[in-house]
This record gives sequence, structure tokens and C-alpha cells, in this order.
Amino acid sequence: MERAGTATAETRIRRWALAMGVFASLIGCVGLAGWLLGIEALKSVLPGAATMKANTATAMLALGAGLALSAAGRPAMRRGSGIACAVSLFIGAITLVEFATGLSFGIDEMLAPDRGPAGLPYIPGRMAPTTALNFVLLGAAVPLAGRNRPSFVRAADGLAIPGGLIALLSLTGNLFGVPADSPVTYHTTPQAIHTAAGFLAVAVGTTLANARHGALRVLADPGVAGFAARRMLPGALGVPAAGGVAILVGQRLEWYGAQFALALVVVVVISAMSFATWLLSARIALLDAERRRAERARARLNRALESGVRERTAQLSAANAELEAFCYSISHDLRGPLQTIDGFAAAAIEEGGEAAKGHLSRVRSSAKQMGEILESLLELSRLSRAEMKPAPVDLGAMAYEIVEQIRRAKPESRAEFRAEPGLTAHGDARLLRVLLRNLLENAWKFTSATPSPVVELGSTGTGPAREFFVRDNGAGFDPAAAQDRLFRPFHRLHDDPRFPGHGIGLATARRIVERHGGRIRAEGTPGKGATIRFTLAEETARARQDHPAR
Amino acid sequence: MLGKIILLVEDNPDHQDLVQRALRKEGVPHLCVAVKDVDEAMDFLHARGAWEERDRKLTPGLVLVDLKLARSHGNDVIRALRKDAATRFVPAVVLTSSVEEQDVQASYEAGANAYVRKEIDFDEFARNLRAMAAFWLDVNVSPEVAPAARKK
Repeated sequence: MERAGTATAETRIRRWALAMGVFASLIGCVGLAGWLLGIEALKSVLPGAATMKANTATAMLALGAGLALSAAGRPAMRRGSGIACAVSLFIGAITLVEFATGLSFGIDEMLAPDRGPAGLPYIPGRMAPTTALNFVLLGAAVPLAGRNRPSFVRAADGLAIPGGLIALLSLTGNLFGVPADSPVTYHTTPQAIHTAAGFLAVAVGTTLANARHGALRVLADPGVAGFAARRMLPGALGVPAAGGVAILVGQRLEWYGAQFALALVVVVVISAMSFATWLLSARIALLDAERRRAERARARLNRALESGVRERTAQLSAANAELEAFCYSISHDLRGPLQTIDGFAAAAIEEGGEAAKGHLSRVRSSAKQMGEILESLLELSRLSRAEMKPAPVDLGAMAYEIVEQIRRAKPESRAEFRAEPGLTAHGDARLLRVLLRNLLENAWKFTSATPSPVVELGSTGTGPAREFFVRDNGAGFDPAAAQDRLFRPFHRLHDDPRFPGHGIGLATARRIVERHGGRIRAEGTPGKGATIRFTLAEETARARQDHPAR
Repeated sequence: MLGKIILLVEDNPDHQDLVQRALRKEGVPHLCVAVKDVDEAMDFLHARGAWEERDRKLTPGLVLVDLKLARSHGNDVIRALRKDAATRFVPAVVLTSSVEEQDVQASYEAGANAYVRKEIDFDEFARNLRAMAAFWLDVNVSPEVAPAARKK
């Protein structure tokens, strides 16, 4: 949006510069035609006014063409522009040298003889010194304008603006009938009206062509500033000029005297400036009101968003508190009745008859199973809430301790256990112990029917890619049926009574691995065994990749 | 030996019964008296109110406290024991189903001597009770409380 605005503003400005160049070269053509065809009106516009000399017309034609070619913006035209500007600069410079040295190089009447009235107050055919100076200034300024080097841009503005001011002074002086650059010595002529107009056009065109980086860059501004500059500048230039001319005409017609004319000028300038100020303020006020409305809307939106976030946070903490209350309730309230069931079932077995004994031992085993489920659930919820204290952990030593406990609890198991020597990991020791216990107990459980059971703990890879594994040669599983359900709570793959369980062990393992920023996966073949693989350091590895310097 | 009894503070009659059965099953040679809340516990210890007629020779050598009581919290019982000069040294053991960290901590803050979880398996529960009674009543030595202090 903004970029498009800049582009169109820039294009428009470039078109204006082009038009200025074309205008100046047309003026040159007019002057030249006057000399070649001998038409006085084309030489001096107003009868009796200073003429545009033939050299001036030529140089003006070149200068205008130079600006137009440069403003057209095609690289191929830049060369032509440079040559044209060099021509006008050269003519101006030679003339200045003539003035300075008092010599004549015979260029003044080279194109056409200047047969003015006898006793010309100036050297025939020689342009005004201000004209020569302007050709030098503007002939140098045009090729520098619109370049990307800041020093060029500054130089172009620095040359074009004085040139423009000289031309403006000549133009207004001519219009007001007082040649402002009237002869410094009787050897010189004032600048002609159309010459001044041509210079003014070239000076304006040059600063416009320079607008992207130069003094007039505010014109290309896509915001309020550019808008104001583009709207106000033509008025600021046009109104005083037009007003001045109108007032002058009135004075020439002797409608009023000089003092009244001055009063009129003051009135025109005051009203023009006040009107411009009012117009601009009104527009800015509109924009301002719009912006304030937008800001208020945004603030409202932000407030709504914040209160939404607060509400969600409150809901989340409420849900969390509820969850904790639920876990507490499992821990406390459900265990009580279970204990009663088991206790009285035990009492009934001791005191009752044979049939009742059978039924009641089933009641007891159910109670026991429920107790174990509650236990696992509680552990799972406790893991999710526990605070992590990561430190280096000797997984091998930890595994041997756990295996020792398993062997004590199940003296009938004969599984052989091997752990990779010096196996350490970075993580929370308490959680890693629960992880290993779940994986090793699982391995023990599923090898209970294997002739020569082996359980292994090891690792593959190094650094962040290091993957730990617990491998057994037990019952295994069917990978096709497993992947999705294996790590979800209460999903069991085996309904074989030899492998009892509640389907929480691997869910717990996954919770722990994920809390360490790792991933867990399972490989298995029915009847050949299973391997559970997990990583722990993914998160830190990723952080290291993001900030390699640290 | 017979002078030392176990005081059980437990509001669930089923669980009162289970504790009694477990102690009987394991052959613990101490009398167990069950009360249902903190007031009744203090009444018993001071032989007043409903317990005015009790044998004053019986001294509680161990107080078992359930945490979740109908009209108060188990920790209130322990605090009441600790504030009272006559009972401030009596071993108080929390017997509960919760092993939440904050519950364990709160009970020790209140002045519990031990924290034991009630196992769901009755046989295991009974074995734990016997071990506890054996330690606190037969192995452990508690300071004797002067009869004068008991009057207070």
C-alpha cells in the first residue's frame, strides 16, 4: 500500500521533471527560430524587452533536452543527457571567460548576426552574464541530479537552487518591468523573459528529478508530509506570482498607486497563506481524528484480548486445581473403601465356608488390582506436576539398583541383565528412576515366559542425537497394531494372563521422556522381543542449534 | 506391659474394626481404644466426659491418627497432643491413605513422629501395624510424664 503510494508519487514527480525539460527546450527552439527566421517577437516576447540571444537559445535547447532525457530515466538516454548538458555548460563557461578576460572568441554572433539598434548597450550577440552563469550552474546540476550518491545529490541541489533563484529574480524583474539584473556595466544585457522562464523550469525540474534523495524528497513522502508538500507547493509558488502580476497590471492601468499596490500585495499574501494554513490544518485534523479513532479501536481490541486471556488463564487454573483435587480424591477417598473391601474379604475368608472363600479371594484380587491402578494413576499425575531438577545421572548404576529390587520382589525370575558401562544422561534423577523402573519391569514381565531371558540397557549415537534403549528377548508385539496405542494410558496390547498390567507403565514412561524434551518409540517382533528407544536432550540440542555462538 | 495401650483416632467404624482385627490377627498384646475425633481423644486422655469412668492406670503408649476425620483434621489431633503437657511426648503416628508430599510435610510440622500409609492389601496392612506397635510400645523408650503434670 505504502510502497505503491511512493512509487506513484515518484513517477508523477519524474513526469513533472520531464515536462520541465521539454518546456525549456521548447523555449530554446522558439528563441532559435526567432533568430533564424528573423522574427523579433520570438526573440524578446515583449516589444523592446531584452532578447534571448542565439547562443542562449541553443544552450537552452541543449539544457532542456538534457533534463528531459535524464528525467526519462532510461539508462541509454543518460549518455545523450550528459552530452547535451556538456554543450550548454561549455557555451556558458566560454561566455563567462569572455566576460572575465574581455576577450572575444567570436562565438557571440556565430549563429546569427545581432543587428540591434545603433549603439547597443552590450556586446552584440553576447548573452547576459547571469545567463552564462546559469548555464554553468544548471549544466552541471542536471547530470548530477537523481543519482544514488548523496554527495552528487547535494551538489545537484546546491547548483540548481541558486540557478533557479537567479532565474526567478530575472523573471519577476522582467514581469514587473524592472530588469533585476539590469546592466552591471553597459557591456551587458539583462536576461530575457523566456530565458528566465526556461531556467526556472530547468531548476525546478532538476530539484524534482533529485526528489528521491534531495531537498524535495518530502514531496515523495507517502504520508501526511508528502501529501501536504505536494498540495501546498504549487499554491505557494503560483498564488503570490499570479497575484503580483495582477496587481502590477492594475497599477499599470493606473487604477491605483504604488502604495495601494503594496497594500494589495500584503492582503493577497496574508489571505493566501491563511487560506493555505486553514486548508492544511483542516485536512490534518481529519487525518488526526481518523488516527485517534483507530488508536481507540486498537486499545479496545487489546483490552478485550487481555480480558480474554485473563479469563482463559483463570479457567485453566481452575481446571488444574480441579485436576489436583481429583488426584487427591483418588489417593484418599477411593483407597478407603478399597481397604475396607479387602479387609472384610480377608476376615470372611478366615471365618467363612469353602465356597465363600473362593468368591472372596476374587473380591480381594480385584481390590488389589484396583489399588495398583490407583497407584499407577497417582504416579502418572504426580510426574506431570513434579518440579524438574536436571543433573547428570548414572543410568547404569541406577538400572542395577532397580534390577536388584525386581529380583528381590520376583525371586522366580532368572533374566540376565546387561548395562552399557558408564552410561550417564542429563535429567531429573527421580523421574529417570521411575522411567527405568517402568521399562525394566516391563521387560521382566514380558520375558517371564522366555527360556533364557536377557534384558539390556544401552545407547546409540552421540551428543544430542544419542538414543537410549531397553531391549528384551521376550514376547514382543505386533508393530502394526501397536504404534498408536502403546504409549497411551489404559491401552494394553496383551490380554495374556501371563503378562498382567494396567497399561499405564509406558504412558508414564512417555510422560517422563516428554518432560525431558525427548521422544520415545518402540520396536518389536512378535515372539522375538521388544526394544524401547528414547532420547532425553532434544530440547537442549535445539536450543544449541538456534544459538550456535553460545 | 498391659498398662500401655494404643489410642486410635479414626471416624470410620469399618476402619476402626479393621485395625482391631489386624492387631488381633498379628497377636499384638496391647489394648486398642478407638475414638472418633479430637475432642473424644482429649476426653479419653484426661479421663473425662464419656471416658470419666475409664481405668486411669491405662496410659496411651501410641496414638494412631487418621488424617481425614469427619469433624476435624488429623493434624489438629497431633497439635492438641503437643500443646498438652500431659501428652506432649506421646508417640503420634499418622495412619492414612495419602502420601502426597504436602500432607506428609504438614503432619510433621504438626508434630507427628511417623507417617505410615494404609496398605490396601489387608495382610500387608496388618504386618505394618504389628511392626509399628512392636517398635513404639516395646522397643522405643518414651519419657515418663509426672502424675502432677497429668492433673493439669
